[in-house]
Amino acid sequence: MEGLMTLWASTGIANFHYQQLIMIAVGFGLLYLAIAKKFEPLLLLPIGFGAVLTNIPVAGFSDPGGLLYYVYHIGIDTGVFPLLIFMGVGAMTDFGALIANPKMLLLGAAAQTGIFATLFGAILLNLIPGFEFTLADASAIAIIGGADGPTAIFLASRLAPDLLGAIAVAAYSYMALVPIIQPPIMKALTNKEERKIVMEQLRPVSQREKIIFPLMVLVISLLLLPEATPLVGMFCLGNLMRECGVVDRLSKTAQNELINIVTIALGLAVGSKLSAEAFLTVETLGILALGAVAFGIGTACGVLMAKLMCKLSGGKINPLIGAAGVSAVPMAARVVNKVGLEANPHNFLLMHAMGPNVAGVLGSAVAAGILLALVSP
Amino acid sequence: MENNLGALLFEAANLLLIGMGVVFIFLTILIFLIKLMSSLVGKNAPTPAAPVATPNINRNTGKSAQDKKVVAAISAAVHQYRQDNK
Repeated sequence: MEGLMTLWASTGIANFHYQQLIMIAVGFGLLYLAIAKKFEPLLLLPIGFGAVLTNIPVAGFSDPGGLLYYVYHIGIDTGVFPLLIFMGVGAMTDFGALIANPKMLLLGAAAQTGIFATLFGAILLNLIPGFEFTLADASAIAIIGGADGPTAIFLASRLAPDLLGAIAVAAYSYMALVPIIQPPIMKALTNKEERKIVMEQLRPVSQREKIIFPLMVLVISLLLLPEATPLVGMFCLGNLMRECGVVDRLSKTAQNELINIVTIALGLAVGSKLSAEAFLTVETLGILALGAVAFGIGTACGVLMAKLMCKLSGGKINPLIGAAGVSAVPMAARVVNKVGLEANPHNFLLMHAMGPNVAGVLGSAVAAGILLALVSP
Repeated sequence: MENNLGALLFEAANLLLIGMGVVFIFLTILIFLIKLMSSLVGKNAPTPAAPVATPNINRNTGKSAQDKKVVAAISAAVHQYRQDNK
């Protein structure tokens, strides 16, 4: 009889707290979004599964000695995983559209307003009882507005590791929701005539320019903003491998096998931060709300900046492409293309939107570097 | 708490100004450097499209040569058939 009692005491059923059940349901919810709704499935699937694993009582996946504990420690505590992902993203990014039309960098800069404006929001939330965000917490939350998963995870792991789970889930969910969040804002800020503007075709870009570009970005960032060099440096390494043409094998590995392996581990590690005590708080709700606000402000500022550039250039720039300034490559550019096609079925804005889109990646990496330099945890 | 919040808000405003300033300065410098670089190396440098195009042409000619053989074989067969059924 005593043996039976011991066995019962070691089953999952006897050890569940209701919070863990809720978190396992959240994990299954993420799996549902990934599989049935195809929301960023590459990340939400491992994150959702990690969330289920970490909330299993007794098994101790996230306690010292458990699998997820080590994965988190090796990859996210050290900042290695997001940086490797950034290298892969660099290897997948073609800067041609940006080099052909460098003014697009201004749109990538304008869309970062969402990040810094959200800082205020996060700090104002402290007025509501139950919220206690420090400046470091607020910065980590604000970076969701950069719409860049690896940057958000990197910054959160440096500044606010406790909030990492919620921040990563918010960042990836909103990136998946770009096609729903952005179009109403884009349409509200532009009129039909502006959306119809057809842009000049981009000039071809030589390989030599594409090779020099990442090196140039690296040199500026190490001179001006060394705090951003982990992100920018890895990004430039990946891009140089892609463009130089002599290390195709490394470039292919970085954009396929390596990024896939790291994505699995990164997803599990982020999932391990979705434990009941860390996630089931009012702060999570605040983070989700702030993330949406950050996205909206970033999109709006990008579009407004593009409108200004449209006026100044005498109507050569379609204001819609400003919305692609919030990284989220290539989803944001596709959304721009789609909204442009609705206004004028012969107007393909995709290539023009890729410029601000990749500029947004650089912009949010720079913004993350500034936050790292000025805010200490 | 009130004071603390005020101080935090002040710091956030500071970050907003410095942050957006630095982002814009950084990317503006980059714009000028890209333009400078393009004017220096961009002009008579080969475009990457050229090497990609060559294998395509080869493959096309290979294909059309094969096509010609098939066409020749078919017309020979048709010719033979017509000769036989005269």
